Amino acid sequence: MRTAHYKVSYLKDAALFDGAFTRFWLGVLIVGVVLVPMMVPEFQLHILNQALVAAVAVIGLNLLIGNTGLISLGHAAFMSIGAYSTVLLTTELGAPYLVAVSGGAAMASAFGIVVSLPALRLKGLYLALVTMGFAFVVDFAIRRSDLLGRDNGLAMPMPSIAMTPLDSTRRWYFVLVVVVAVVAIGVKNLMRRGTGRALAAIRDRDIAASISGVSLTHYKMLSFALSSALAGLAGGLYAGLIGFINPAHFSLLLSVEFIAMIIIGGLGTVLGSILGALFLTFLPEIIRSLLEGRSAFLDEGFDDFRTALFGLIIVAVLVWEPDGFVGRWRDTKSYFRAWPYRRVPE
Amino acid sequence: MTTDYMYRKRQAGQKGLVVRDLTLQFGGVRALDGVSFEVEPGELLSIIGPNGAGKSSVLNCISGFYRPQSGSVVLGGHEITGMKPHRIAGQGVGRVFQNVELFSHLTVLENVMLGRHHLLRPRWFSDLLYFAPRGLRRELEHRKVAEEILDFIEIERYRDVPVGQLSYGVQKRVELGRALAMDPSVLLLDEPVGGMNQEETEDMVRYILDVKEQLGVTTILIEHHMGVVVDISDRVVVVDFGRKVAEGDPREIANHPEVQRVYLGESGVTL
Amino acid sequence: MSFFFQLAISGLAIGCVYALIALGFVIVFKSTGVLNFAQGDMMMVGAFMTYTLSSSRGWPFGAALAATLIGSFLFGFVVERLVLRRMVGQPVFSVIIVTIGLGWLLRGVAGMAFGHSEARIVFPFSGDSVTIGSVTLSAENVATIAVTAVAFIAFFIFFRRSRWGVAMRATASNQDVAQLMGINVNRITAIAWGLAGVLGTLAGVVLGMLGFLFIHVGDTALRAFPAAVLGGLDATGGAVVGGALLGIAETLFGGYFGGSYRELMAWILLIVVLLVRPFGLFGSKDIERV
Repeated sequence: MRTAHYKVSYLKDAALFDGAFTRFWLGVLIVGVVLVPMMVPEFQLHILNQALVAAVAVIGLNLLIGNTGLISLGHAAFMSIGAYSTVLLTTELGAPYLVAVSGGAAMASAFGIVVSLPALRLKGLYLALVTMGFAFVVDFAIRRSDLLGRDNGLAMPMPSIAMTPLDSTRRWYFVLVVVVAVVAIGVKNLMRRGTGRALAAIRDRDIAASISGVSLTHYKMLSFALSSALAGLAGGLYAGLIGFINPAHFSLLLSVEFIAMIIIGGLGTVLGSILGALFLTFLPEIIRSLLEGRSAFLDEGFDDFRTALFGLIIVAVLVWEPDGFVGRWRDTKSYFRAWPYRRVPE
Repeated sequence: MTTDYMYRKRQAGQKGLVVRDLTLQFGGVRALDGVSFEVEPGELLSIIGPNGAGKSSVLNCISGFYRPQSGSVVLGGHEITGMKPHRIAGQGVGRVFQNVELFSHLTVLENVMLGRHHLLRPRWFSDLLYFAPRGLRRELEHRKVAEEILDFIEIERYRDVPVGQLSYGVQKRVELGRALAMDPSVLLLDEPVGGMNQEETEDMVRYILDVKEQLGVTTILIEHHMGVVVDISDRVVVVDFGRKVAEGDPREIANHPEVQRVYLGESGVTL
Repeated sequence: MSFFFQLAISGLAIGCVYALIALGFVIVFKSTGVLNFAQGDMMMVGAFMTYTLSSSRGWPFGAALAATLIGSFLFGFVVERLVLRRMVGQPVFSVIIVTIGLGWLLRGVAGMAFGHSEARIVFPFSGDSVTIGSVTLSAENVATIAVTAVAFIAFFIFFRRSRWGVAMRATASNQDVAQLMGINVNRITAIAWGLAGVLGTLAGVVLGMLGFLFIHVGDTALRAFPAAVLGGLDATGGAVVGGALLGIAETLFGGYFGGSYRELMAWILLIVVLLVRPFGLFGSKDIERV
């Protein structure tokens, strides 16, 4: 049973990493993160890098869906805008990588603000449909544009940060971990303060939010701007990591995968977004390594099998674990905190 | 009961509200038909009438949720008709809803802090960084005020509980707290004691009276509980079918034949 | 001029497919508030079942179709009972993701079972055609339009007159009150999904007759969403109007401006409708009260 947990001042209450207990585990986490590249083989590390890029996008989408309650099926399109902008800024204008990626994020954010305009009047499913329409139009436009490489896409030159080329999986890993950490902490901070409260209020009861002084226009636009900026950032990182991009990378399928990541991880939480991204990015690999060579039938229809299994897992997790990993963790924690009682005593 | 919050508020000025010829129509239905009344600064005016008479519609027009087809609402000399709800909130209009409209996934403290929103004016960039000193200081200042309000309405023990988990009576108090957090010059209370037992009703009335007497907040109250209306109102307005049918001193109104007809039908039973 | 009419007729045929798919969306949305993203894949499976039974197994077309229709009704029914019912109380978009997952599951299993080659469904009048004035209608086109018309009239009568239809409308309008009135909401929802399965099969078979059937056709079926939205997501009659309009608009657009712009039409239409009149031509507005 956990004993009393006193906060001695409002400042302490507000702290993210309060107390020796949390700090200890934070230390463990940091040590673990640093040790990972030494213990994990190159191939898996590369997948981990992709999962980290996805995590950036998913944290952004979670801000929109989980925290503000605005449903978007167009997140992949913003990532695509960020990716293409980053590539073009690098190849056409010779911008250094950091500048190019920032430019990509800014471009995606601008489009996000445009898409937020219909959001001001549309709710729920209708908003989801409009974002889906937007995604298809973006995809269509890219595939018809010579500048953007049509169906073949564009290649991204090797990026460098501060004169150091990012040419190894290990370097990418550390860069991405830092990016994810900064983004995660930033968004967590945001949610604990006035801006985050306003967004959550819009999600819970937007009329009451408005009558309490929250400008729906301002905050809905802000939510779209920030979440698509993060998607654009992820796009720029993706372009640098993989080295080439084409429209097929950013399909509706990806947008749906992002949403699945959020729900499976735990809707509305930053940690959930990261866990969900890790899980769904690694899942195809886990499936593949488990099944490789086991049966000729499966090898032949492998893509189909993978699609079917993916679908089945998504359905299973959503039906049985609707609060996601974080929800299950919370339930488990409460269980142990209350033990040997069944419920926390009043 | 004088807390720091109470003392702070006493410094600010008082505002009156003037509603003139308010007309609200939904398709063929006329919810309000030329309703006019005035509320003096610091006064507590009750609006009574049968269900569907248009009482909540009046509050909704004042809050900015509905846009009246004609008529005007003037707050402390400023016209607020047709302004967006969040701007009207910024002018100091606090609201308690008939059906609890709280942010169910947020804690009591967070709900009350949302009342401070238009005073806090958060900046997203500063919030991202959290420890940016000016932003943090303002957040803590407003936190202090919110805590004082929680003390005042005696719900401190629930501060970290998501409001969705609380009982109805406590939720209503949280709504009052959120409205008070806005530093309102006008409070719009829509059936604040609806569905409460005797004890809860007495508590709620005490808070409303304290707010009125010590902070001088102009209050408009919609209630069906006639005991409360008669006891605490300065004046009463009676509304039926979107029209004002009577106005005056609470005791007179309670015995007014028109009011009795409206509430009790033609049977002639007295209150 | 005859070019225009020719285009319009083939557009109408495509429009009928959209209309059938859109009607499937509307029925599920009307009863449960959920957008069934698996409708296209359900359509695909129904079509492939019919194709396999009639072509590979040599069943007469009518028997194959009837068997599949019954099977798809049961399938929809079972899917609702096993999966959707457990999602009651979850936010709507979680349910939508579940339908997407189901769609993938269907697609994967169908891919393994039916293979990846295109399939064309042959029916008793294949290859025949009818000429009216300067316009030629293939038997497939005629069948498509006929099936759609019959389906819509049947559903229209069903919703207006039959007990189950009225019960379904009541459930869509207010589930709690419907239950209090003695309506078995669970069964209504299951029937709605069953009917969606049936509509899917009809749409798929028609599509197969027109020669557009392949495993991933579910993606193309997404283009029926704009049709449903245009008609009004909760309006049965709207789906046929929306579908027809979309089909004709698409084909005309493609005919005059070049084929590749056809797809764009659907999405531009969707965005425009949502911006201008989100509840569509015949849908009902949402009203909020405090």
